[in-house]
Amino acid sequence: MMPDLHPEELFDKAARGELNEGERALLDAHLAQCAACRFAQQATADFAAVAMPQLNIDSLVTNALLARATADLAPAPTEARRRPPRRFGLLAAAVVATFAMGSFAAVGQWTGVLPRLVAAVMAPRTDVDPSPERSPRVNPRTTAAPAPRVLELPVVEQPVTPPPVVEAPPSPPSRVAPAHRPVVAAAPAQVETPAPSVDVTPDIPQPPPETASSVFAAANRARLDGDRVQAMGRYQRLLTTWPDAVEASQTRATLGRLLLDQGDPANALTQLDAYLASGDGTLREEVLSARAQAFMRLGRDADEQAAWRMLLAEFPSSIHAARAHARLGEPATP
Amino acid sequence: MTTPLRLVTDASARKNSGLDELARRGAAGETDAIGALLKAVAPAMIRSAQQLLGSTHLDLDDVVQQSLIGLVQALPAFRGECTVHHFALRIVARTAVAARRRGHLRMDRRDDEVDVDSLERPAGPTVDGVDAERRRELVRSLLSTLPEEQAETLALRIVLGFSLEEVAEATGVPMNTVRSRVRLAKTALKKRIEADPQLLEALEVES
Repeated sequence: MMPDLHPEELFDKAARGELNEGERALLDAHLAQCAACRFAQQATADFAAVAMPQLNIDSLVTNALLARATADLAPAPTEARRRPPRRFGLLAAAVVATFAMGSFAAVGQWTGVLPRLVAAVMAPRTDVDPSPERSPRVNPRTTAAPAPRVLELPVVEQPVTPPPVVEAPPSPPSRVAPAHRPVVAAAPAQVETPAPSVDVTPDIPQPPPETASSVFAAANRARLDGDRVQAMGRYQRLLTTWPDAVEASQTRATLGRLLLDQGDPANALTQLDAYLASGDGTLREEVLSARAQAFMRLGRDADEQAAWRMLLAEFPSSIHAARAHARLGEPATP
Repeated sequence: MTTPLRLVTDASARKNSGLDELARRGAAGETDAIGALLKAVAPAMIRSAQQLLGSTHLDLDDVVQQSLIGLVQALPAFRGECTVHHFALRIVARTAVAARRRGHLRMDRRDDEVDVDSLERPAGPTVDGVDAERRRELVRSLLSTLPEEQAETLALRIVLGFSLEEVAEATGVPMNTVRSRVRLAKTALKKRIEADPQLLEALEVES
């Protein structure tokens, strides 16, 4: 019988190195009989060992500032438009790509615009949503009613040119749950000035510029929605247009798998080999398995065996190990 | 029996008065402060997103981007009752848990014929042995199925290594509520482990 009470304070004291002998004995006794705490203890150490992914911080930060700013320049959303977009972050990034250019330096020429955009967004408002201060969650009830938006933004005085599109995403409210997004209550003196936000938006909406990230996101959506043809078309377009994009290697792995599933092992093999050549190791185990299956479907027995052996050599405890051993005619290792 | 190892979050998190000042100035609309703040906390937010989602999750970059946007939006609500670091990581946790839930729902209505799951979802703990990634993936899978508050608490406590006190400060709930949520999450974890004899056996061996 495992206990349902867990000495969480003792775990914290242990982490700080503050356990005395008696407490250590208590904790060890609990761990001896509680699989959940043993598992949690191991898992916490496992998570702490996760490596830092390689993402462009400058670009993410710039996009965050600009996406938020452009979102607030849009007219107040209607109820129908409040439905959060599926990939708001990437969409917002695409919308502001004209500005972003990957770093603050790249937007240096807009230093007269960016601060004012952000200042408009972040300007203190006396009518900010009084939702719980510690929780970054928005209370949907406080945001349900369309509210006039206050934009103390003088940008209209100096029209922005050349990059013409300061258009906000079509559905600005972030799907990020938190967002203590300031909700503007009726503040008579300020409510009189919502119009400028409309003036900033060009008359003719323009689609956001397409990027490798946006095409990758669209392809993933299509794939997850079961539209494999559409997904493959987009993946192939990404590889044709942006062969050196950071998304390219994962695209090759995914496209290879889709081609294999579509009964095209030869072209699948091309993509899978290209992925392996890219040096990206995150999907290597799966790609090695898919590659062996491609050889199998092509009837290239020797290559298939070599591919399975490569998988087993690199990933002996792979989830594909049983299949590999079976194809090699070997008994599975226990 | 080994000494329990709960890895304390960044020690500097407790004395980040510099970040507090940036947050205050950022809330007042100072662009430079917002940018500096985001740059300071972005590495931890990125790493936390990867811990919560896994390195191959398709929404990883999107979750990071949304979390940064969420932090900018939430700055006016920050009162310094927890560290900026924990405030930011809580936003990551909420965003990542929501992303996992959406992914979980998508998986439920997917065509089983398409065997591409394995490209983005590491195997569950039902195969030979137990390794670190399988333990991580089991915890992540729990985040998709637990009630929201429990999932968030589990994410902060086990995945991001918050202490009970830090969870309470970041979520703004009493300590007893945090204890209750951790207990319920561990009960769910226990059920998941007990449902898998191989996992349970391996855990016994490792402990």
